[in-house]
Amino acid sequence: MSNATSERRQASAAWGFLAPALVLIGVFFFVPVLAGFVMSFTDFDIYAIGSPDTIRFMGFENYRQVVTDPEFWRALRNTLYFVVVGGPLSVIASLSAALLVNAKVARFKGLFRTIYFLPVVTTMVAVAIVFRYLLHPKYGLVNRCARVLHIGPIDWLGNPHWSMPAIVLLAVWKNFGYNMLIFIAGLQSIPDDLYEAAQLDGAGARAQFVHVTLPSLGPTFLFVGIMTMIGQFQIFAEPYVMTQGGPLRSTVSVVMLMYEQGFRWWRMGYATAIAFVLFVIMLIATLIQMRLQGEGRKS
Amino acid sequence: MVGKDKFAIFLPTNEWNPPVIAGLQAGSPLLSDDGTRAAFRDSAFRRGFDWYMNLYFEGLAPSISGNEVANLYQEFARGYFSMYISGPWQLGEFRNRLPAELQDDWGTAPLPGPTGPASGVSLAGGSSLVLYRASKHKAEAWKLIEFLARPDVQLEFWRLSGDLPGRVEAWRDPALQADPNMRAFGEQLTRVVATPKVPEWEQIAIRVQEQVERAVRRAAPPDSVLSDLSTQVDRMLEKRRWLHARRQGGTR
Repeated sequence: MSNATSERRQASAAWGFLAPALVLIGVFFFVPVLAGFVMSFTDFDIYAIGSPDTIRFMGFENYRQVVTDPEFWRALRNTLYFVVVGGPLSVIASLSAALLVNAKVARFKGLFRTIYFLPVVTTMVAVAIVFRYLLHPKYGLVNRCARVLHIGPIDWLGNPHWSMPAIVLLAVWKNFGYNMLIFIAGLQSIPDDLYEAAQLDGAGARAQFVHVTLPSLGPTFLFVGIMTMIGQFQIFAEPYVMTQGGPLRSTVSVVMLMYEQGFRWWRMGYATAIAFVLFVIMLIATLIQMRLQGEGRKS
Repeated sequence: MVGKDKFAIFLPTNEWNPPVIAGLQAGSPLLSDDGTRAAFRDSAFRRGFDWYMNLYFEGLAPSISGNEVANLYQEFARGYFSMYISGPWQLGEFRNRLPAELQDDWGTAPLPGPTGPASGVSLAGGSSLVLYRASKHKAEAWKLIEFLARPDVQLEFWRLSGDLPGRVEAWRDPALQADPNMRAFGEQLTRVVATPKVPEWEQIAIRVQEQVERAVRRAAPPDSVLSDLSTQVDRMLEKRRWLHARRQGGTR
């Protein structure tokens, strides 16, 4: 058997193995994305579901409406709040938890890892019910504690100024365990001899953290940073179950707005336009972050 | 019961029904021109809206949403509020959840109206049975509707699920008549108005709720709230106006 035919057979075998996955991605990803893109140029809505002849081609009208809709800008502002405040908080919380659990003096490491990871696997709705009681203005534990410190009472979920901080904290608490595990894996892959060498050179705990731990975690930071940012951009469940976007629409996120327009009011054309605008924003933000963190690592 | 941390009525800012009822009671059609235009700028809706706002501004109702009241029944029992607008599905809940010593102290009443009991209209809730024009089983569907509309079937439904009968004949049933809390709902059913039958209604209702919440929480003055509401609802109904124009243009 010649080399060329065996290569060709290998290639066709590879395609055979790849085919199921490619077909699935094609049917359930590329086709819907393409259909959504086409739909975003039409006024596909509840009338169109009943009689398709009412669909009108709108050109860029949906996109024009999205960028001139104050509702969209409010949702985008709230979403950026989640990204800019919630994202870093979440990374700091995960890294701190990872350092604590991974510390040499720490005991019951497995137990603490499990406890910190528990919120990630807990149902959002159950968490929301407990947090609604915790944050209740009159009977909540949080305000009881605040009263001891002579703060409040704060109407966490009813006051438009406090609703976002409350939900950001909930989102951070709910999700930091996942990134903590990734950070633990990153910490464990740092070779001990680096720390030994640093100690021999007289580096203290702080210098070791800044000059050994942080640089070694570079790739982990890039991954965690981008995944967290994408997650925060797509935030939906937390505000949806806690406040349904209220009070005064102060906690509506872009994905929630898209959900409302698309699946509550069936304005599919408009909702898909929102989706593509969000996609472009996320793409740009991710490229910026990769550029910044990539440069940070080189220097 | 009004006083510090006690309110006459609880009108949750995340419910659209109470402000819509206030508008209907003042005689507003909510939408005009065959459901293609908002009628929230009209004097009728304005009257209902102003009256409704005053309940908050005079401190008779707390400016909060249902989310902020963790447990409606507990708060009612504590006297946080004295009245609440709801439906017959709550009767069982109030019976089960209020403390035993309060069971003789609560009751139901039909809504009052601005110009006497006759104007005390309310919403009937899910009140329409629909038969599709293009249905292939019209005869069967009609038979089902006839069956569901029979007084004895409606009474059976009430016994099984608590859903109130819609037929006057069914209300002659002694068991229904014996319960004074039920009778209030029976009386209210003689004074109900349907919401506009347009597919956009759900979205419009939520808009009403959002804009009323803005006024209640004093995020915007009542005038701009009503004009914003009208503008937004008119924009939602653009497709409907287009469909109307197309039908009148004779393409159909």
